[in-house]
Amino acid sequence: MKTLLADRIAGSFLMIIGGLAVFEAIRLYPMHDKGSIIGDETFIGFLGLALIILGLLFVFMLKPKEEEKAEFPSGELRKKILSVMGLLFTYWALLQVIGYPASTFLVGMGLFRTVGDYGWLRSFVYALILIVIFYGIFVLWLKTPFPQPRINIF
Amino acid sequence: MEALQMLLNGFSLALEPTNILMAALGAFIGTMVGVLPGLGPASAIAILLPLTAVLPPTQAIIMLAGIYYGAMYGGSSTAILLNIPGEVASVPTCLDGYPMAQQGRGGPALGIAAIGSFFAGILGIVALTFFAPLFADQALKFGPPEYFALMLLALTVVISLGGASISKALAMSFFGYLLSLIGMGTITNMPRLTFGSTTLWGGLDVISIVIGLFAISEVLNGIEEKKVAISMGNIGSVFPSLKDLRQSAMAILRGSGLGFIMGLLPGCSPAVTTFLAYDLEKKCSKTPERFGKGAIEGVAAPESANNATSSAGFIPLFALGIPASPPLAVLLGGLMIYGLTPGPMLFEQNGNFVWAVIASMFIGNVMCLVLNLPLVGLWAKLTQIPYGILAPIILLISIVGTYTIRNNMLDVLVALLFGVLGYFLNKYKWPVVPLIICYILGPVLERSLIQSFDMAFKNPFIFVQRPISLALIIMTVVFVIISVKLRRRTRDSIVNSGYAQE
Repeated sequence: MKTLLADRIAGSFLMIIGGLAVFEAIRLYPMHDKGSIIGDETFIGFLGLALIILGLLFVFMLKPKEEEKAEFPSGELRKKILSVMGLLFTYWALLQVIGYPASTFLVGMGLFRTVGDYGWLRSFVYALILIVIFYGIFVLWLKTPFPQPRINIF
Repeated sequence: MEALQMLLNGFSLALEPTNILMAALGAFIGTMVGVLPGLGPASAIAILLPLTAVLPPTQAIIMLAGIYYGAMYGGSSTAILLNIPGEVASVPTCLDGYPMAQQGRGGPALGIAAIGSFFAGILGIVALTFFAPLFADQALKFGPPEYFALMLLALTVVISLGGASISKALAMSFFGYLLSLIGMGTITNMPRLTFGSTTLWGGLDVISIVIGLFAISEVLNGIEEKKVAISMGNIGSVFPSLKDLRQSAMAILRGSGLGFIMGLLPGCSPAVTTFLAYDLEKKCSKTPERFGKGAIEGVAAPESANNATSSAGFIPLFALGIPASPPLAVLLGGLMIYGLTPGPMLFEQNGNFVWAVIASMFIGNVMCLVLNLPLVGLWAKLTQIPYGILAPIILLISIVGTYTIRNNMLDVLVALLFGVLGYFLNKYKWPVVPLIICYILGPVLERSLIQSFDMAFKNPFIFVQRPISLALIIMTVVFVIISVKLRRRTRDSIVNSGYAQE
C-alpha cells in the first residue's frame, strides 16, 4: 500500500475519531456548569474538531514528499506475523479461561514454533523451561494474582 | 549547601545494601535488554518497567534509575558492535564505532563509550543536584496559569521528537491527548469517552500503552526483519590505551559540555546533540579525514553528548515535568506508577524520595561502569541468542508485566491493541512519542486551564498578566523556533550519514 493511500486511510480514521469526540462533547454539553467557561466537554470538542481538520488535510491536501511504498511482509513471513498477533490475542483470552500456567505454556510453545521455526519437540521443551521459570518468578516469588481460570488444567 | 545536605540524606537511603543491590540489578538487566539488537533504550525500559512494580517504591525507583542507565549504555553496544543504532541518537556512534569494531578495536570503542557516558552522566547528575532545587524554589510561585504555560512549553518537545512530519506529530499528539481524557470528567466527575463501558471508567493505563507501542510493536518489527544472531569476532580489550584516552579526553569534555547545555532546553533530545557533538568534534579535529573510518573521538563525543543530554534532561523532567527524549517519556510513566508527579512541586512534596533517586542515579552510573567494562564479553554473547528464542520471551514478559501493574486484563488487551497499532504506525512513519507525551501531560493541561479560568473570573488574559506564565509562554515560542531549526539540521545530518531511519 502506498504511503499516500495509507495517509488518506489514516486521515479517514482521524475524522471518525474526531467525529466521535465531537459527538461525545455534544452529549456532555448539557452537564456544563453555566458559570464556567470550560466544561468536561470543552477539550474533547476542541480535539475532535482538530482531528477532523487534520483528517481532512490528510485526505485531500497533504501529500508525502516522496510517494514511497511501505514494505509489508508477504508469503510465509506475513503468515508468521499474523500468527504471532493471533497467538498474543489468544493468550489474552486463554489466560481467563485456562489460567496462567497452562495458557503461558501453550502460547509459549506456539510462539517458539512460529517465530523460531523450531520443531514441536524443541518448542515443547523451550516452553516447558519458560513456564517453570515464569511460574517461579510471577507466581511463587511475586505472588501475582492472576485471573481465576474457568477450566482448571494444572 | 542545603542541596548537598539533602543529597547526603539521599545517599544514606540509597546506600542501604538492598538498594545498592537493586541499583546493580537494574543496571545489569537494563544493559542486558538494551544490548539486544533492535531494542532501543525506550523499549528496554518499557519491557522492564512492570518488573519494578512489585517492589517497594524506593527500591523500585532506584532499580528504574539503574535500568535507565543500563539501557542507555546497552543501546550504544549494538551501535558499535553490530552497526545497529537502537535509536536515532546512536547513529553518530555507528559512524566510527562500527569501523573500529571491524578493525578489531570494538573493545576500546565500548570502553571509551562507557567512560564518556560515565563522565557525562556524573556531570549531569551533579548539575541536577544544584540546578533542580533552584527550579523547585520557584515551585510555590506556580499557580494554575503557570502550570498551563508550563504544559504548553512541554508540548514543544513534540516538534523535536515528532519525526519527519509535523502534521503527523500533531495528529498523534491530539490522539494521545484525547485518549488521556477517557475516564471520569475533571469537573462533573461523570464518565466521558467511555461509550457506555464501565471498564473504561478508570481510564487507560499509560504503561500498557507504552508497552504496546514500544515493546510489542518493536518485537513484531524484529520478527519481520528476520533478526539473526550475529557473531562479532574478536573485540579486543575493553580498556582503552593511554593514547586512546588522550585522544578522547577533549572529545568527552566537549561532548559532555555541549550535550549538557543543549539538554537543558526542553525541546532538545539526544538525537540532536549527538549529531552536533560529532560535527563539532570533526571540526575541532586536526585530522578530520579519520572520521567515519574508526576515529575514537567520533565515538567518545556523541556518546558523552548522548548521556550528558539524557542526564541534563532529568532537570526539566524533575523540575518542570517535561520529558526531553523517548526514554525519559517512558521513565516519566514509570515514576507516575509510584505516585511521583514530576513538576515544580516534586521537591516540595516528595523531597526525601527524590533525593534518594538522585543519589541512586550516581550509584546506577557507577554500577554501569563497574559492570559494563568487565562484562562486555557477556553482552557480546547475548547478541548471539537467536531471535526465535528472545522474541517469545520478550512478548510473554511484556504481556504478564502489563497485567501485574493493575492486575487488570483490560490493560493487557490495551497493550496488545497498541502493539498492533504501533506496528502499522511504524510502517507508515507515524511518530508514537508525541502520543505518549500528550497522554501524560494532557490531563495536567486541562486541569490547569480550568483552574486558571476559575481563579481569574473568566479573564483569558491571566496567562500574560503573570510574569512567570508570560515568561514561559515567550520561552514556548522561542523553543518552537529553535526546535524547528534543530529538527531540520538533524534531518540533514541523518540523510548525510546514510542511516535514513525515523
